[in-house]
Amino acid sequence: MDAPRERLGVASPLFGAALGVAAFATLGALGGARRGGGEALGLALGGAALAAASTGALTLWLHLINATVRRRHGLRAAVHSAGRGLMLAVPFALLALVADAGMEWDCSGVFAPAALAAALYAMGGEQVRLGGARLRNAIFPGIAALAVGGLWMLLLMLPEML
Amino acid sequence: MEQRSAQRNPVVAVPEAARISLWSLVLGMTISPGTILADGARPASPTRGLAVAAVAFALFFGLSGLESSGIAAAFGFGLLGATLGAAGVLAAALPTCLISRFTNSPRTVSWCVAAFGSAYAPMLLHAAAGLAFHLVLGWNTAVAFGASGLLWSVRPLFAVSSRALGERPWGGLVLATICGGAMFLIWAGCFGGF
Repeated sequence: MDAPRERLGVASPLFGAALGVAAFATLGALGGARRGGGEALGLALGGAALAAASTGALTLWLHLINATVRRRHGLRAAVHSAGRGLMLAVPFALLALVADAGMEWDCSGVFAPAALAAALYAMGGEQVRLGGARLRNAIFPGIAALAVGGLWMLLLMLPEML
Repeated sequence: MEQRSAQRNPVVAVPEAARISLWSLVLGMTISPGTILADGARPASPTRGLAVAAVAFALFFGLSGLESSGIAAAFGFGLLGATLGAAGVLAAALPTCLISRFTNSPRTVSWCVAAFGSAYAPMLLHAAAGLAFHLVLGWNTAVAFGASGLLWSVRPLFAVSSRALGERPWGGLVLATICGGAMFLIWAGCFGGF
């Protein structure tokens, strides 16, 4: 596959990743907003940590299995795909804020797993765009999205379980 | 002749994708939109793109109408959804096409219409599944399937937008947020959310 030999920047993906983690913190906070400030803060921190940990782990895994991309772009490809993936959470957080404020819709459980899936699939998609194999870069993000989506639902239930 | 024309105007040079089936288009845009849009190829014909968006919104609005007001309203809302879906695609595609003329990868109107229309393929899949569950099991699935489907369309919209703007992810993010958000707000407005 003829992948584009573009020079990958680092600053923009890192900013995107930071915004993405903030978006997941917002989605977490929305999940606990109706249960009090303490729970909102806890879920915000938990959501940010879960998003950072899951994307970090998947980034590492994709970096390991995509030898062609690794040889061609080095660690920049990993940072690039993580940033491009995580920044996709921003529209979800904005829509969730609108839905929460306008519709009083407790939507964290719907929006956050979809945002996680979009972010993780997009990370695989970036690896494909940079020259990685299509199938493995769709399968592993898919498995991760299912698992992390389930973990998010557990995270939302955690305050009631404690 | 074609080559000479393409050299004069790079917009004409954008190739059309190898003819793929509707099923491959819908599944491909859902799972891996980057692959379908690879090499700047047009993902589908504009008519097919518009049809995907129109049917997706018809199912979504029809399903919401079916759950909120019954079978008669479902057809009305379905028709409204189809119109809004097609109009929304044109409203997104035409300005994007104009903006793309100022980038290093200008796009034709037909590419933009086909790509933006196809980007709603995840919603088509989700809304169809939601309708099936509603008809067979009687579940209320407009939010769980329909709204989720709209959210799942944000990623293809992002892929299409950033590609149309010459691989500019931040511009793509803004455009995808506007496209997804506008349709979400219209749906919420129609069904009493606001």
